[in-house]
Amino acid sequence: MKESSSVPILECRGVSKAFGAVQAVNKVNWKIYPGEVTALVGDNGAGKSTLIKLIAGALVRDEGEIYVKGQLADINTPQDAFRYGIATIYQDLALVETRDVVMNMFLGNELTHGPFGLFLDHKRMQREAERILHEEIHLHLPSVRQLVSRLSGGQRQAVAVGRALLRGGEIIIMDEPTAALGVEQTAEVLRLIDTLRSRGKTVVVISHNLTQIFQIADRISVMFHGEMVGTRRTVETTREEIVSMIVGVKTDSLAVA
Amino acid sequence: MFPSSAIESVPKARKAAWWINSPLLRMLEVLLSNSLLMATIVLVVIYSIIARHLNFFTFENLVNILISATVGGFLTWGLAVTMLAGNIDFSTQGVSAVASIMMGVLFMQLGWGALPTLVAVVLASAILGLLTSLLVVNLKIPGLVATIAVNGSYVATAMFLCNNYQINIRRPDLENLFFKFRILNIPFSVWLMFAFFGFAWVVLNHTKLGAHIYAAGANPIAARLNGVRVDWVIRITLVWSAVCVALAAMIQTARSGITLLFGSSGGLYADLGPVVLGGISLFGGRGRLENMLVAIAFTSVLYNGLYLMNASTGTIRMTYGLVFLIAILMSAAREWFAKLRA
Repeated sequence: MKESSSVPILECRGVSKAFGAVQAVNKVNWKIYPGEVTALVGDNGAGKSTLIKLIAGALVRDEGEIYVKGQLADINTPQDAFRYGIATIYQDLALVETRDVVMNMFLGNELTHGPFGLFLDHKRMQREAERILHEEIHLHLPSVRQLVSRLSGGQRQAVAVGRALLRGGEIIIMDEPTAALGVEQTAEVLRLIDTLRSRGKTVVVISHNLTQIFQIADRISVMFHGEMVGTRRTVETTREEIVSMIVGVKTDSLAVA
Repeated sequence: MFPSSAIESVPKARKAAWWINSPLLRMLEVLLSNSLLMATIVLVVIYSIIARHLNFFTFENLVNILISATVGGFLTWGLAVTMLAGNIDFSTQGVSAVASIMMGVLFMQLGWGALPTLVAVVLASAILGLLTSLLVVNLKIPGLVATIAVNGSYVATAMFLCNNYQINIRRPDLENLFFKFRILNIPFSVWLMFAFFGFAWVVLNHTKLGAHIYAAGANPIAARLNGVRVDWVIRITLVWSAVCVALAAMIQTARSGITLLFGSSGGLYADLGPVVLGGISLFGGRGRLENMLVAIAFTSVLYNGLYLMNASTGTIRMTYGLVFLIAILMSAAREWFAKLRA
């Protein structure tokens, strides 16, 4: 594991979000370190997904600041987040089933050529998609022109990750990547996360599965009732401690630096 | 920690029914995807036999078919793009009424030239499309309800504009522009329709906007999360649809020589028929524009033959309805096959 003395690649300071009377995320301070896999855990409704969406620009925070590589980042839309190298893979993967793998990987980020970049560069997109899938995440599809509706759950996850990498994502956020998958495909996704780390990417994973988290994560952050109750290094904590934090028995309001 | 071997391509497990790959089902699938082209050919053969004394195969009748296809063509290109974006536009009648009356007022009562009238009506219809999009995009009212609502108010606006009188188009320049001005003996209005088709085809298949239209139609949430500006996609398609409708209305008005409150559109299902028949999904995001060409050829030949044979209005209306019914049945079959092969 890398030394934690490095500067956080992503930092939240006092980030809050309310839906009506419900304070979904309450003054969260959170640090993510480069090249690590950080797991975000918590009970249902603890505010994990909301926090992720605030960082991804899918929701706009009520207050607080987000820093990327020490610089204040003004994230209000998904496009803003892409610009800062933050790519999010949502639970439903946000894939368009009726479109092929290439068009999904470049969705919203299509390559163009010709006068004023008016026309799609289908050939270059196909080449790039193949390169990323084969070389970066070792996914071998018979054709990148097949429809996403024909892919397995694990393959879809890989396509979504491929898209995140294509966007130049340095910080890859995955929301419950294995929730809907079988044993075999879950193993695929965990290998994928490992591959990403070995490529120097920073990964944030939301998960409910503590066994998986202890296998894959370098750090574990716990949320409870919209608050960040603490972050532990995986090697320095136990399942029992994490569970007691998840249920709100044990808290410390200061995150481990 | 994990073996870094390649991720295997695990085929999706599925209980395969014995009939799924049966020759009969395969044949039905092939038939379904080519049915329209075959039906058109069959239709042409039938007409050439039973209606040969009615000059079905003369060049002038071919041009007639093309001219009547122009109106349907514009309506179809407009609706097809809106439906691909996952929306629907039922304001066809209202927009065409406003366009027709406005053309009458500008061209006859104010004495504008043909081209300025054309440009002004196109711009006005674009504004109507923008107004519709205010309801759909800004107020988040479902397109179906919003466009039916504006349809009524646009028709009323048109009635107000013309004080309920029809305006006769007595100057020939618009008719000349649309029908007498010919390139390779084909009227300008027909060229214009094909130009609009070509434009829409290039946009849909070879531009970012096209990719975004398909994505927004199939899965708007996914599109938005990936940075597609779904609101703008819908706004643009509604404007496009209104402009297409206006052109159809102007051509129809110039052709009949009188402004039409309920003219160019043959009713909602008559407009929607070719779009669904050509395989644009009712659920958005699926379908190809080139199939619209075959659909328009089919419906134009069908209706032209009926007119040649002096079919009664009842028969023609019934045919509109039947075509639409068959279209939605085929659409349902397509969805079923798509699910089966997924």
